[in-house]
Amino acid sequence: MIISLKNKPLLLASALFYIVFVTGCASIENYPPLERLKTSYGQLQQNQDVNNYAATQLYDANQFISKAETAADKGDKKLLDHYVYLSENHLKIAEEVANRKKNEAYIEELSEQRSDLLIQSRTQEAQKARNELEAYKTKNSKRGTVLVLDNLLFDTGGATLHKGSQRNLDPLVRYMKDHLERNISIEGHTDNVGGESLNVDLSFRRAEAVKNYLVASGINGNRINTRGFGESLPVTSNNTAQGRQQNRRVEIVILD
Amino acid sequence: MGTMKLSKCTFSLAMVAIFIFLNGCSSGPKSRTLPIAQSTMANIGKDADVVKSSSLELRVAKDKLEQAENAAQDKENETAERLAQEALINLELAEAKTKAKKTAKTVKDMERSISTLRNELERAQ
Repeated sequence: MIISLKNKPLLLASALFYIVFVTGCASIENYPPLERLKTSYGQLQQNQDVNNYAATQLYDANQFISKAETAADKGDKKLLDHYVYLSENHLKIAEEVANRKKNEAYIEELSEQRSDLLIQSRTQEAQKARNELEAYKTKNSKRGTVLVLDNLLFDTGGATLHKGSQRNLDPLVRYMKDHLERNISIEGHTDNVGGESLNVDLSFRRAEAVKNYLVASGINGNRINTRGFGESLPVTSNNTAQGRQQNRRVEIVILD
Repeated sequence: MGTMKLSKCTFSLAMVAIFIFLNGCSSGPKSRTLPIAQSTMANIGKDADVVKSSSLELRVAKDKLEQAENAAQDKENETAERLAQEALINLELAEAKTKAKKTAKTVKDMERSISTLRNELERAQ
């Protein structure tokens, strides 16, 4: 009797352990986090991108779903939560990986598109530059390409550029806008009619008039130099009217 | 009667022994994932891009790793292993997320530059 009484608490305790152990063993059914996980897994499995690009991660997620189910059967809630957690994160990784790989494939496409466009744009630019300067009579000098404008009309003895002549400068304006790296020197020349110093002054003012028009058209004045050479550098004889007309000119040096 | 009581006593002792044994067993061997999680954290945790674009995952990973380290110190090896696994998966997610964000940004940048090029080409025509 004494032994039995002494053992009573011990019996109770072991019974309690037994109950806890058996209850712990009861399987867990319809555990919401696990059900949600399986739903997300099913959805991602239907997703083409995830299937194509993140099959491994999807497989990992599924492995942990199986483990979670085993844990649920055993009634081990802690382990079940652990596997659900791992599986959920594998699914998140699967999505990120699929996103990245899909974008990487798209980037390849984009970079092809871009290089095509770059080639087009370069071809177009070169063509345009040729077209722009094609409007002018040109000669080459050590300082760069020289545009010879002998069709610009100014007031006689004055430096006001005629409206109609302004249009002749528009291709140059476009060229300068397209080639911001280029600077120019505008150089005025006259025939030998009139005094020499007057001609130097006149040719300078005419070069300035051209510059003013370019600046008014939006070209930065810092890119433009002006000089007046007067009658000192004729291109042909001043003996004929035609020769004099050719000598009255503005030259534009596209500086290298 | 005496034998009955003795067998009951033996049973109780056996139950306690089983319980203790099970409990002791759940501690298991030392965590294998903990050192992996620690070195991964040392690598990824320093990555400025990860810090910027996956701060939440990184934070969770840090907390879990710390808990895992504490558990390992307390010789709760199984808990340490699970926490280390959870820390590691968060680090993997952080890395995946960061890479995905970077790629998405590249796509955006390229799309923008392509549309600029297109506009320029059209305007020039």
